Amino acid sequence: MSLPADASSPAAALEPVIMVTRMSKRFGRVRALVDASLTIGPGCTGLLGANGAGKSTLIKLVLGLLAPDAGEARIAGLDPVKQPLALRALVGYMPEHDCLPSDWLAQDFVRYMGELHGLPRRVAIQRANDTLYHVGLGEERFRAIGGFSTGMKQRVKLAQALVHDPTIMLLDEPTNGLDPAGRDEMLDLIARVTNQMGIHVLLSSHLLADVERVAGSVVIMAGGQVMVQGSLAELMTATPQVIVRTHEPPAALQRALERRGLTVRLDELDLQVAFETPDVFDAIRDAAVETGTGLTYLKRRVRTLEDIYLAGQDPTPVSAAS
Amino acid sequence: MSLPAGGARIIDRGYQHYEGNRLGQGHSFWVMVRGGVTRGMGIRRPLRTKVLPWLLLLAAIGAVLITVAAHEANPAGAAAPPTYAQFLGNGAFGLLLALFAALVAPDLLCPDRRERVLALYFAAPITRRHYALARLVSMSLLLLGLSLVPPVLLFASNALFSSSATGYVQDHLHDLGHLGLSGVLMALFYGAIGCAVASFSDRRAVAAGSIIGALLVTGFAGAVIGEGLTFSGHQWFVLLDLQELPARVVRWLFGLPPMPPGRDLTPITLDGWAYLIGLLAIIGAGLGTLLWRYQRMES
Repeated sequence: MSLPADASSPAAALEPVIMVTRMSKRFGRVRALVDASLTIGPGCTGLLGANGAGKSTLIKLVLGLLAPDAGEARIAGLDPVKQPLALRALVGYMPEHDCLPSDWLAQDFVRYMGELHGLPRRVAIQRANDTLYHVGLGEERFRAIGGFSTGMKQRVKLAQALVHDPTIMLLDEPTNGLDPAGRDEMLDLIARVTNQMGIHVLLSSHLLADVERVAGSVVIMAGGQVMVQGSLAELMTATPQVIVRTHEPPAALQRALERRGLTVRLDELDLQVAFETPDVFDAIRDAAVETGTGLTYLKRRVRTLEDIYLAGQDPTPVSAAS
Repeated sequence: MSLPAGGARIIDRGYQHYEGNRLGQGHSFWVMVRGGVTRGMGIRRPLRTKVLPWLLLLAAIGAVLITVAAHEANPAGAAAPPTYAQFLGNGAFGLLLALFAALVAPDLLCPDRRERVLALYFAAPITRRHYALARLVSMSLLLLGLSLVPPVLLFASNALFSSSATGYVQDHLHDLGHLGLSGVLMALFYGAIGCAVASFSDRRAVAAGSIIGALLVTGFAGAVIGEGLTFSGHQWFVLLDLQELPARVVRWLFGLPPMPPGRDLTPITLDGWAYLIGLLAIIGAGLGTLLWRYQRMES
């Protein structure tokens, strides 16, 4: 079995972790994935999309659990169609749905999954204990999974995906069914997996806030198509607009800015002033003094993930470069 | 390395990457087989899951020990221990194996589907074929324990209570071989039927009932059509009698006529080979059905 380069090496850091090229998949008359191409780099990447967008299908294709109708993929350099077993030894998978055997002890099940992924028994026992400790179930590891809360079950699912020290983890809706505190803890754990354990993560979710909190990059899907992809830093760039919020009604300020030759648009109670040169801030200050308007907010507008997500629902796919 | 001062110790080493060797597919397969065997006997599971499988095993062993002990204690009064063919070809022993298969095969297969654990297993480096085969091997190994331990115990008792133990073993080595072959065939037969039928239901009770039902219905159909009717070729239908088929093969292996004398209403003249081929065909069909079911199953 050929193993990929050490994920922590500089060379590995530059290589894409997952590459999907023009992949399609149909289920009968339903087109679940349509000509999808994407490149996922190191770190944590969010896979965003509404229910039915094709996220779970993409994950199953990438894992080799489904065969694509067209296209190909490479995960850590391995082909999921031709080398599914070698690939799965290096990947940790946490499905969206309930998938834990209720009458197993947590430690037994996590150890068993470690052994199935090729760990010797003694190592698997040690790593099962360590992993359950890392996910916060050190004390409960000898209890039957059937008696666990939803949050504890999600942690067991994470532990079984982590026990064999995967290079990549595919997490499908890991915060499903969790209360706000449980969701917070799960996202902290995922951030630890990426930042402290050095494991690449593909986090599938329909929750913008989850992705925004832990992911460095994002892929947005809609109707089985990849609509947007890129790093959040690139996608959430400053836009050519300055947002001005005033204490008083902004009509006088708007007129004063327009007299100075600036393009101004009223968006509900905010003024959106076109950012052409940095002098625009001086012009706004002077116009505010001239009209006696108090400014309560003045900032160049940055695109939010919500903007990007909503733009991603547009049928024209875009990327960070566009 | 110096010892830490003041009894200090490291509590949390942080996450450790695994740098060692990753074992291959064969290892994963045997892990799954071992997991099936321990699960089947209720090991590291609640007490209620241990009771029935151990009870059935102990019943089979107990029957041998009690018969032998009673005979040895009172050779004139108690019935002689059964011959090997009588023991293995006995309907009660077949029923014991069938009950064990109906109890354990659904327990190995149904919860994995109902609780959707297959999604995790199939995301590990094993194939669907490996999974299905591993379950069948686990089931057959468990049945092998039941089909081999009691008759081997009977053999050991016979040797122990004979005038010369070594002489008995030397004289009856062929019996030991037949015991082994019979045990393997019976274990594979009931294992294949149990796993194949259990692969059609997510519910243990339904699967268990279906296994027993399949044996009863085929037994009835085989007896009525094969032994009760007289049309040309009727005797081939006795091969449908899955209740009796293994016992007939065992009787033939031990040199007896496959059908007990006087049992058939119309003469059955099938050769022992026909029963053996029928048994192997059932094992093959069970295996094929099991693999087919898991190849099509959604994970």
